[in-house]
Amino acid sequence: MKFPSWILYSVLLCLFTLRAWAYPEFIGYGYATCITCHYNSHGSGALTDYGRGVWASEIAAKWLTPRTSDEALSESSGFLGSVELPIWFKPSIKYRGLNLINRYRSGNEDHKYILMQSDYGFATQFSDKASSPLLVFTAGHVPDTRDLGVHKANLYAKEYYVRLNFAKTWWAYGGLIEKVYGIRNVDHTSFQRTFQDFNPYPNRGLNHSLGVVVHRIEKTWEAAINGFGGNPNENLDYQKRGGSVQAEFDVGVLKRLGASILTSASDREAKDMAAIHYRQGFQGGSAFIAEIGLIKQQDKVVVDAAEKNGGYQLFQGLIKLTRGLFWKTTFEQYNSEYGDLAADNHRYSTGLLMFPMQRVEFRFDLASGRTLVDTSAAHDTWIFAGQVHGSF
Amino acid sequence: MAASKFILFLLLICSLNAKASIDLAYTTWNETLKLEAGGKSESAETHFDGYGIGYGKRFKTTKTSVYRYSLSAFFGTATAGGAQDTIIYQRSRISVLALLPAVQYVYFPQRGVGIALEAFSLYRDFMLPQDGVTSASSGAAINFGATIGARFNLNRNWLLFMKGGPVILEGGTLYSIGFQML
Repeated sequence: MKFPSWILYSVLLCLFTLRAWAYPEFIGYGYATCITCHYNSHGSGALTDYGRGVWASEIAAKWLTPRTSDEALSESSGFLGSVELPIWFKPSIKYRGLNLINRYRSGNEDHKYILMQSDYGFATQFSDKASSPLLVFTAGHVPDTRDLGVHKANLYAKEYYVRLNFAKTWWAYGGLIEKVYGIRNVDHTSFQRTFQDFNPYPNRGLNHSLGVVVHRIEKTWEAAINGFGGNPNENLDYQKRGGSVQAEFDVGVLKRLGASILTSASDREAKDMAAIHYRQGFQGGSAFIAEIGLIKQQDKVVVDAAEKNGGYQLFQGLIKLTRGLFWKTTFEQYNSEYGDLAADNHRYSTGLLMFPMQRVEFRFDLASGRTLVDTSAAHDTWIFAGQVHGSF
Repeated sequence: MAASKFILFLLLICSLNAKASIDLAYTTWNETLKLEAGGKSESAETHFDGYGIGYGKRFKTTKTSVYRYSLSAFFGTATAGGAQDTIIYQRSRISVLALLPAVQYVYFPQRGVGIALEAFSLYRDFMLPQDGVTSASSGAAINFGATIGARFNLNRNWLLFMKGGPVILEGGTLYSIGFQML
């Protein structure tokens, strides 16, 4: 029997000083919580004015504006540049496009350009007091669906929630909001997101769900509880109901260890997951993140289907080469089921992450997938992807 | 028992020498599998995966870089064939023992973070079962390769590394992830 590699990694990870964020790798810039830059305190979604300023003045390169001060870049980072919009209307637009080459250099290449994201939203707050209720609304397109056979790419309500800061360190959210679990890695095809129902496609396990989140954020730790009842953009039998908890605490300077548990079920499938996660930032902007988790799932369509116990792991490093340019390297592994006959899926990817200016991001990734299984040694799969991201 | 004594021996050496370190890693690579049967020939694939332990030592250090050599022993299994079109041949769980001497250059763009370039050689002890009908041979017993990798100091005593790169002779790609005890 193959020795499951997650056991070794789990044991070793627990031996060390072992921290979870928005653009999770940006712990390297010393920001201890996602709410510094995002309206959602668990990260993802629209940026606050401060978050836009951080992007302009710390993260993005100054290749096009070498003589402009960081302060001036920050001041002109708003939706309309330096025009300050009222607190009751903070609009945002996001676009992601992906040029994907499947079976790269195999002689049978498959080229695609995929519209991954086109979101339009706004945030409204009645006063600039932190305790004032905040409303966030985002409409988006379903990403390219040529291969999915689901919805056409129509505009739909992707995210909407009300946020209340009802006590000094307590935050509550209600609405269609992203489920709380693990590290919010921006790559939805990651083995740490796609098998856990954090996808952008309806009927494939959407990452948002109607629910309530209560989040406590202290200086050295944070914890959250989330109850959810399904996403109305999915067919009723695909809508998963359940709950999750997540906690993180500091274990050193720029080091945070966390754990997450999620249980959910729809008419088609039941899924329980648990994970430990770790983030570490390095002075200067580099970061390392890891997540190791277990997934128990049961098909409810097939009568008397057996439970499957599998797992996943993600190790990802982001090394800052110069301001606005990072080298990213990732090792991932996923088993739908531990056992002698189940496939052990590996993926190793390396690439560049580039912010030539605020509002613009480019990514280039070369990824190799290998399936280790006793019954066959198949050729590796190679993917080359180039991505453009505009965020206004 | 012999393996645990060997690990203790390496740990002892490491504790006596500040420039030395122990590597614990998961490694996988693939090779071209050549099959011949009944006058036909076909190429397929062999996968290797397993765990390794290694001893390494820095031999030159500058302010922003380190030169290091290492020797790792790999213990794992191989799976050969199964995805080819015409010749039927498939074997799995073939024991593999390998040695990987390597030289490494590590550049530190920031404190605690390293970019490593490595050249390695791969000597492996591995017998593909033959069935009298099909002749099977995989890669090369002595091979060479290069990797590029990232290293992150988790604390003063441990770092995590991830590396990947080509195996040159009839090979494919090698990936490795592991910890280094400093």
